[in-house]
Amino acid sequence: MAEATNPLTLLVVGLYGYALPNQNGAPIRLIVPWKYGFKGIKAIVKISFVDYQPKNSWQMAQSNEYGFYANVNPSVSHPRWSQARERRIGAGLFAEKQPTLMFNGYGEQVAHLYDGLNLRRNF
Amino acid sequence: MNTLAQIRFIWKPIVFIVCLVPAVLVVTDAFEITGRLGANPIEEIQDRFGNWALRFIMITLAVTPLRKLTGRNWLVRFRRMLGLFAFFYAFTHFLVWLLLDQRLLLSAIAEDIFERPFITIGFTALLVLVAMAVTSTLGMRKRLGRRWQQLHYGIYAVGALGVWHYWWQVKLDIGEPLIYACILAALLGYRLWSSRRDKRRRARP
Repeated sequence: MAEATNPLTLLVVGLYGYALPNQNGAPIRLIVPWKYGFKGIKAIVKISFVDYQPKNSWQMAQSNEYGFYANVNPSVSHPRWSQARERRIGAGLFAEKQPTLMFNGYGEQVAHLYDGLNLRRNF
Repeated sequence: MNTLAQIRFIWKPIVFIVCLVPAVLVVTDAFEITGRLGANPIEEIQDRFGNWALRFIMITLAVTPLRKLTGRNWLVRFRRMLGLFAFFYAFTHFLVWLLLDQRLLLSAIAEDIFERPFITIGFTALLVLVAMAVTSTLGMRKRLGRRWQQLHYGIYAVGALGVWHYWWQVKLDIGEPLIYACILAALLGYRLWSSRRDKRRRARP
């Protein structure tokens, strides 16, 4: 709930001044900018408030690679690739990779939510 | 297929040019002449070269079964060129990863090769292909004698490692790696059956 009520978390209905296209998750989707993209669920049809930690579909598909928190963390690699560097989409064929930032750069706004949590175990 | 000269000077150049088409299409797509590389061009280029490497490995492995089934012995004259194209596509796939994706950052490259099993597998397959490519000439074949054939049976390992590398690379949709695995199984299975049948025939008095 702390993550959901954080001002950075958005339920999104539009994109670049237009209504959300189907491929971006129309009619309504979630954006949680400090987490990996698969947590930004698309085409939401139902929201349930539960008192247990639910599983997401990627976690169900491969739990050793996709977790619940999915916070952007350059120091914890995915089992099959590093998360330490990233390339901006649209930067072109010869663009350098840039270092990935902890919490995607939103540490100031969200790091306190995870005080004391082992972010390697709770990936 | 008639004379050796016709194969060497007409058919092999034609096949050579056809085999280059996938690579040319990558370049023309990069300049948006034929198509597009998409939002993630480096991954797209890597994927394409990797896929064609696997395809050429399968095509190369198909030469002997086709030759045996159709009796067209001249097919074997194309086998080395097809194998070298498999090497070309695999090596370019590796170079794209090395130069465009990893940008020659040695620490990231070493981490990938030694800590990501699917990359270790792919890199091993590439090393075998390199060894086969540099020993592909007739001169090398004469120099190495019996060892040459032992080394060049490595194409079986390369096929298996290549499919394995692809299988462990995909996220969830194992459809394409599965198809390659089936093709490889059929091509190797045919060889196994054919060599057993030949042994049985030789055993008969």
